[in-house]
Amino acid sequence: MRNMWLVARREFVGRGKSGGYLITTVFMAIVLLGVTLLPTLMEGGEKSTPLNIILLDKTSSIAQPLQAAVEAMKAQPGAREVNLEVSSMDEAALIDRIKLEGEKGLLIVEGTFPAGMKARYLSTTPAILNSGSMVMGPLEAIVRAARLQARGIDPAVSQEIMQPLTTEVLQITETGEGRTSEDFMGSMMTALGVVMVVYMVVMLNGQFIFMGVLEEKVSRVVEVMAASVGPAEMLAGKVIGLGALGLIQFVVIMASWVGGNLINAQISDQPLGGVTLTGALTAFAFLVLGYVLAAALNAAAASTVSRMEDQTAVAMPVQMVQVVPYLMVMAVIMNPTGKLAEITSMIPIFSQTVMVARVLMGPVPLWQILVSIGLMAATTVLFLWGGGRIYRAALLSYGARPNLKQVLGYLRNN
Amino acid sequence: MSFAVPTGRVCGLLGSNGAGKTTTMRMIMRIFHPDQGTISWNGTPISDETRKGFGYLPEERGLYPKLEVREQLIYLTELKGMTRKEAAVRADRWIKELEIEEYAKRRVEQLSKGNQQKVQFAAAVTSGPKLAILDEPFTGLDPVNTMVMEKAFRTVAAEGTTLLFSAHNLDQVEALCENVVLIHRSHVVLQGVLRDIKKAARRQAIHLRMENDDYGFLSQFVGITVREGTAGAREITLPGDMNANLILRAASEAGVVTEYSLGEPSLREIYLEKVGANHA
Repeated sequence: MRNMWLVARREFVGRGKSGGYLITTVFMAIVLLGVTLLPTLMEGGEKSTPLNIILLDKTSSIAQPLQAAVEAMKAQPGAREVNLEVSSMDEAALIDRIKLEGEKGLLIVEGTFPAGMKARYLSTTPAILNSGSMVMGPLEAIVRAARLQARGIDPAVSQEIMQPLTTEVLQITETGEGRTSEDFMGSMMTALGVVMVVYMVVMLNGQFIFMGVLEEKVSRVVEVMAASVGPAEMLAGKVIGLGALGLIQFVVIMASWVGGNLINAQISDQPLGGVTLTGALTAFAFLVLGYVLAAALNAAAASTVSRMEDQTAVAMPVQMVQVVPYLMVMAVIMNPTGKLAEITSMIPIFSQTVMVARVLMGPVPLWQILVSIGLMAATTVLFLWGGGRIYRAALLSYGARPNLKQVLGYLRNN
Repeated sequence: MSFAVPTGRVCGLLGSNGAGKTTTMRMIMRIFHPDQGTISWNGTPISDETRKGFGYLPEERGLYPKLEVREQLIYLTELKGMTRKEAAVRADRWIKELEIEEYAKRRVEQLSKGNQQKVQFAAAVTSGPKLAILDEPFTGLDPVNTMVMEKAFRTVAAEGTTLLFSAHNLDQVEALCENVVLIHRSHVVLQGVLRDIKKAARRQAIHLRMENDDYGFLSQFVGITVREGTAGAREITLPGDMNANLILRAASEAGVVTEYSLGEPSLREIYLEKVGANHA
């Protein structure tokens, strides 16, 4: 037992001090913070700069009502400021000016107003083009109203007809509250974020186990270790030491992600999909089980490698096994209550992503969560048992890499 | 195979390649488990607990390449049941004994092979083991480092550690060992106190070297066996009743005698006699 803790401490300190661990942890935290914050910051930044548009009105009927509509928009709270500059210059000269000045939109209105009118919106900057609806919307409304008026409809009536319709899409949940699609998006982002972080931590620390076992075996220090520490203690120490590092990493990365989202919610008034206690506990259970399973798999695989050159051939299939459940995530996240999600959330290995996503996106019957965790735990124990046997048998045998038959032989007689 | 190593002695484990020396040592360290039979320490079968009192230098050298020398020694000593403080004191002492102070803060991978080997030796003895199993500890060392290691070897032995080591340089074994065990094809063919073994093997043996390298005069003697020894010298075995001076007289008449000795056979001769005969 004492030696197991010594090994755990050695792994924790050794790997924790390594550049690889520190860099990936900080890097992932910064990337996640950036990814969550950047869109809002950019949008917020755009909102604060006014949109400058030059209007070339060849119909001579649009400039005034459009200017009025734009002024009316300014009065609305939170709206982006639009500055309309009416110009009577030649079209080619205006296009040259836009090219020169950049960051500006050019709205050209021509034809007969209102029946045969045509509008073009030009800019050199995609971002300015994307904001075109801010003037095209009011323009359309003005033209429609004028057309209705030409047909003899009272402007008050036409305004009433043009009034936008209020629509709302709501999901009925067990608690009875309607969830809007924005809520859905929020919880989808939360689920995606948590599942991705669980994935990264499990993969990364699983790989550390692989590298650690490989390094010990290839450098032959394993024989010195085997003369002091039993294989079970050695493996358990590794799993605990690197697992503690993984947990710290998970907390740091999640903190940066949650922090980013909280700031987001502050800025954009968008609701953040909340994480319930059940959701947090489920994610934690699957994080630990997924990691131990990955550790057993990686340790067993690495122990069969005697030379560095052989490592890719062994590492590839192990990584494939670990990647598969994450390929399911998108399909499940788009339809968390579907049959595919329900079935795969019960299958161990798949469940470590699917069940976590399901729980974070909406209520799941408790029995389903417990059965899923139970099955995953049983599979993890099985992997630990099998992986441990392979590890013990293969650790001290050098030479040609054992084939599958020999590895299965390690499982039987040991 | 059965042999005993007396406590507090230096014992050499000898045998040709593939005789089973490394396997035997691994079994003592409980890395491999014997199919049958027992290995005992002070009369009781060895366990993980007794193993804590053993030091080990494996044939395939191995240390953590990225770990600093001192940190490595402390860690490996702690695994033998010492506190970190105790382990640090002992590590520092052996770093000094083996003259590797300037490398204490370096990573093992930055050291030369010879210095890595000294660190490996230190790893085996820092815990002050009751028994140190050393698999070919002198292989690959230059003469200066060999001397440093031999000195450390004697220090360890003087402090009461029983040493069991394998080596191929028999002159070195003869200089360091009190006991030897010779194994051949997984069987012990000879074991005991080296001095007794040599005494028992004492016979009329002559070591002779002629300046002109002409040993033709030996053909006049009936009943002797002649073998070529190191660098062209001759190892001659005489029948029990023959007067050895006859050979010396004939030799001095045939030319200049540069080496002549009469007496106990060397360990090398005993080894070749025991193993060489069965080798084919």
